[in-house]
Amino acid sequence: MTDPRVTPSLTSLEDADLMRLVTRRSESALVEVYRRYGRRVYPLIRRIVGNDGLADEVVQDVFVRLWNRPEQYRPEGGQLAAWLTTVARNLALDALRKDRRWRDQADVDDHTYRLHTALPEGGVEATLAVRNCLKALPVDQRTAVELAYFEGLSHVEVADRLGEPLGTVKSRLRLAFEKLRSSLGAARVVDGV
Amino acid sequence: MSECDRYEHEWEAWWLGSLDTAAARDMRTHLATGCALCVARSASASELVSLLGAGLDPEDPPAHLELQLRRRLKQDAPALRLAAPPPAGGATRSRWLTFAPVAAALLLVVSGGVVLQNLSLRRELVAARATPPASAMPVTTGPGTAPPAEATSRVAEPPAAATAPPRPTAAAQKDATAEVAERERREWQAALASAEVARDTARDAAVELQRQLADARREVELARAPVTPVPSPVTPATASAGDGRVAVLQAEVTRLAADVARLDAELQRQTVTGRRYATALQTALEPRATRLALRAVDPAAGRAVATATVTADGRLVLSARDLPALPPGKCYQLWVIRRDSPVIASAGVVDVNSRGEVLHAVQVGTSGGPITGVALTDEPLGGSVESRGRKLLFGATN
Repeated sequence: MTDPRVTPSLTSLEDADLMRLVTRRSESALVEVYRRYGRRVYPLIRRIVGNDGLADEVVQDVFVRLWNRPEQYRPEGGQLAAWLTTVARNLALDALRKDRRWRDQADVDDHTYRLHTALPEGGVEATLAVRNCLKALPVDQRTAVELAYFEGLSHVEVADRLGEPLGTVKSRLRLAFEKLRSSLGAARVVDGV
Repeated sequence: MSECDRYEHEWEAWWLGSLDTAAARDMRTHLATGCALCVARSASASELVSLLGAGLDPEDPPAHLELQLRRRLKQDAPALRLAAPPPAGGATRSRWLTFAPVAAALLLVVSGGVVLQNLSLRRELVAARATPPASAMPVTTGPGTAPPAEATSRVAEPPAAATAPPRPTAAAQKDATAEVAERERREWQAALASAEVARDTARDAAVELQRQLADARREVELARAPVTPVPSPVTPATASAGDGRVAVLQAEVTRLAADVARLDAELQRQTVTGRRYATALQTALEPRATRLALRAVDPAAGRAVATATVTADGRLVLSARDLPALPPGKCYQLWVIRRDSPVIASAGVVDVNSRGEVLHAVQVGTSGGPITGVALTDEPLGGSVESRGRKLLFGATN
């Protein structure tokens, strides 16, 4: 039995249980998800759109998306935080380029809902782990990754922006991801994630 | 080279959306064939890409976003949306935001009061122009006053008469009076329009509150409804987890009920505020009312300004702002002085909100003759029968 001296609350529920309540149309549960992860997606969205007003709208869009189609988050595909982060990035980029066709990802949903996502557990440690791995990249590789991730630039656009040949940019990105895979994988093993 | 080999290092770029359209389409088509190797590689790449967003420092979204989100949730599916029971910390924040329109309404009324005060000052200005002693010319609205920009600019604007100092003739004085009267009429119209906006805003806030209350009640009912059991093998572990969830839901029901009670109490408070506001509005718009500008007469009043409006049938409305917080054990009290009776009579203890604003409506009657002065003092908590505190603000009829 649960210890009667302890008052359980939504904050004590795990993500999976919260999502069950969200599926049952519990607004409280959705708001708890927002309180839990809004502070993670907000800086990402703000970084991408670079506009507080637009960021506010996109943050809401992310959680309204979860509210309207909660079944599209699949726990077996990864953590809720990572799913929200990816949806947040895509919606932010969509918002940023709403007057432009979003190349291949016209249907963001098809992609995001099949994501296999895995953010490291924990707060500061996770942030530092990812940041350190990015920092460890050579500057040219890191810049290419950041342009592709935060600005949603294509290979061609990254090459234009950096004034580098397309092949060079592709190589940098490939190398960068190989290193990230290696170092983040190692960090996760070390952290026991 | 097989398609799988060709795509091996491209899945991160695919997830980033960095590939050109044709390449991305080809990969999607290939993925759709169910190629196990590429599905695995794609999954691995999506994991890696999702990690990149974790490198930013977490940052709390602006406080208003939660309320906006709640509203959008309700808008998206009105029949199903239910109000949430915010935990203690968040409740204060969102509740404040909910009643921000009422606060805005009160502010507008107070602003209206300041406009009135400006009108009163303008009368002084006209009088000063008619018989201009040198000391009367620097017209200000007092320290800390922030009148509407338009009114300020007009008051501060050097009048033509000031640059052409010949003493005005009787006809010119009459024209000046007519001009000021016309300005006053226009500003009254503007003040009325502002007050109407304030009233509508307050009304909307009340409707929103009613809706939240109804939603909260529905959610209580929902939370009390039996949960459809999910068939699963019962083990000690699942039984324990089930107990935990039941406890959570029971706690949620309790919290929701408490939330309903809080909303009820808040609604009652807002209703009282709304009535007070309606009375104040009605009084403030009374065309034959007397208006007194109260000014700080003690340094303890700080930047406070106030306007008292008294109607012929004995209604009094005080609007004030920038009142400093009083020390513990003290409260603000309003007093009136009448022409036929030198006794200072209490017009009640005044509630001041957290922003130092007041909207105080009271029936003071007409016995004792017309009111000639109004004062605001600080008194021991609960108020005094006879004023013993410091006189902070004072205003008198001309």
